[in-house]
Amino acid sequence: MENKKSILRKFILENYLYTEDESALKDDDSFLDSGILDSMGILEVIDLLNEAFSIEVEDDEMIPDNLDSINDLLAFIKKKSLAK
Amino acid sequence: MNMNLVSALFKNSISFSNRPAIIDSSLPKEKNTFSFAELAKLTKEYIYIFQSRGFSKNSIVIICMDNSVEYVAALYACWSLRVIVVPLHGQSKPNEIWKIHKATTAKILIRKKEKDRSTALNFIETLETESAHDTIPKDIFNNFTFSENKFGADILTNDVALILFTSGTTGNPKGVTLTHKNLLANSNSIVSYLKLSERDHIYNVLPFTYSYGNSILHSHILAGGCVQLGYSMMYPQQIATGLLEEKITGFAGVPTTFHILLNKTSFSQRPPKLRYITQAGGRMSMAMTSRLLTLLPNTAIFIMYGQTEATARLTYLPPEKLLEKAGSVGIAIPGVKISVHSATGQCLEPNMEGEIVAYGDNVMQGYWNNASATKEILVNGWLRTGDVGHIDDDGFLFLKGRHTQMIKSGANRIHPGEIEELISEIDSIAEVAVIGIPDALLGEVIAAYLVLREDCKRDDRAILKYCRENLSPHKQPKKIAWVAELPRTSSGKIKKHLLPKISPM
Repeated sequence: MENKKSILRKFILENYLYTEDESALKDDDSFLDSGILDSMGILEVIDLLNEAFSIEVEDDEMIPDNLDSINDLLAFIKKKSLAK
Repeated sequence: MNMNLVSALFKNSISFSNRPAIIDSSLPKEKNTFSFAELAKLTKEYIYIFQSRGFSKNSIVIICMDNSVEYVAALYACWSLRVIVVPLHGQSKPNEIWKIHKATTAKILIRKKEKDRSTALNFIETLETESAHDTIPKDIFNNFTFSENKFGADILTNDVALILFTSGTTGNPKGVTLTHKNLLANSNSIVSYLKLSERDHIYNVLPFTYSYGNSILHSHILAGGCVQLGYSMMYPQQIATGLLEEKITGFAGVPTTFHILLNKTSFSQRPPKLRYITQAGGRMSMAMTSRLLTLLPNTAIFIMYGQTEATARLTYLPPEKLLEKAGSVGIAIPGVKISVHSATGQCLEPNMEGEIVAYGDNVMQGYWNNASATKEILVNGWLRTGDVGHIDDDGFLFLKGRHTQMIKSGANRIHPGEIEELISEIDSIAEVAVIGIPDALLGEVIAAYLVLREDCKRDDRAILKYCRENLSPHKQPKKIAWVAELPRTSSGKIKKHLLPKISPM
């Protein structure tokens, strides 16, 4: 899980916050409320889930509860992996 | 008594007291609904607070908030006190706020109280509103001098109500100045052609700080209908699901909204049952319109055209003409005249192409504090839209193109000048030009073409980081291209249309 977390954090920090400063992103920062991602960004995160973790995100799963922070993403990945 | 939007809200708080005015989908169900009576009560509380803070006639206040019941109450409270409001996106950055403050001399900013706010603003007095559900002291009205049965009564029709900024550059800011008359006229027209009533309930995803969303809000308050604040377009499936709720009667979008719903959600498999949908904000392809027609056979589809300078709406295509007049943006809305002028300002015959001009009570007073820009666009009371097109023999308007450089990305309108201004502050940049480039999802995305200063190093990340720190999320470039030089005309003007054709270095 730590490894997954660092992949996700690195992806957000590099591509949307343009920094290596780990303190720029808290694990429970809302991507929506803090304006980190927009509708295009969230689709890129969904692509990442597919490419890096082989997770298919269904239409019904595209909700903030699953995708809106690093912690949400980790919980979602866990849930999806268990369901496989 | 003067009729205006404020008096309409308070009138409806009696006529439709228990009917929902605003529903905020992001709040828990048990506390997400605000009836007309509750909205009026919150507005009164804000009037009291603002009055005690010295808000008075013609003072200018910035409301920096995303769609929320607090935004609506703050806006109507300011208007009740005859205060002029400049609405800004809730995620606006300090330097964006500073530009608006400088252009308008607004001395007060209203925003929502937030726990972890890191940006203090030292140049403007800031008033942070409590959430609508936090307790406001009960004795608040004890010293209230505002005469309760006269809300809106002393507002004059020509009082300035709103300044909507269509461009945020420091050089030439264009703040569209709208009076209470403008807002009421356009809202009345919209209520009439959409046949809005207290039975209507729109699911709204458009920001109130732009003219389209602004017009949705006020036309529903006027009609006694309900505006449900939908989720962000970031999670479109939630919107597709939200539209399935039985009570929803209407939905409004720009072409991107429908593109995303049709292609990224279950909308096509489970289409909603709506009375009507509206589309504005740029041309939607006929293929997409046909798909909507097939999916929603019992829904009236309104294609519309307008401009912030005309409060919002200028024309609409009556739904029954959608196929017969395919590609048209329709006829003038009630109370508006539309004509096509030649380059010398002569009225042209049907089917001849020229500049579209408009006349009506919805046409703005001008650009705030910018007489020269106003003079160019308002001629004898007629608004020059800058759009090119023709009117056919039956009076239907067809648009050809736009003169403006405005970038349309999703539901956002972005003026490239503001981004260019910011990027040119970066030391390593010799020259910059910003344009919108076509994007399947968003219509357009922002691309910055940069010329590197001699002896400097390219650093894409540093540029994007600087933009992120100083521009609202929707204004940040998605693409950066380094070029040797910018193509220019002999007079030195950048030929922006050639930029996409230049090969990057």
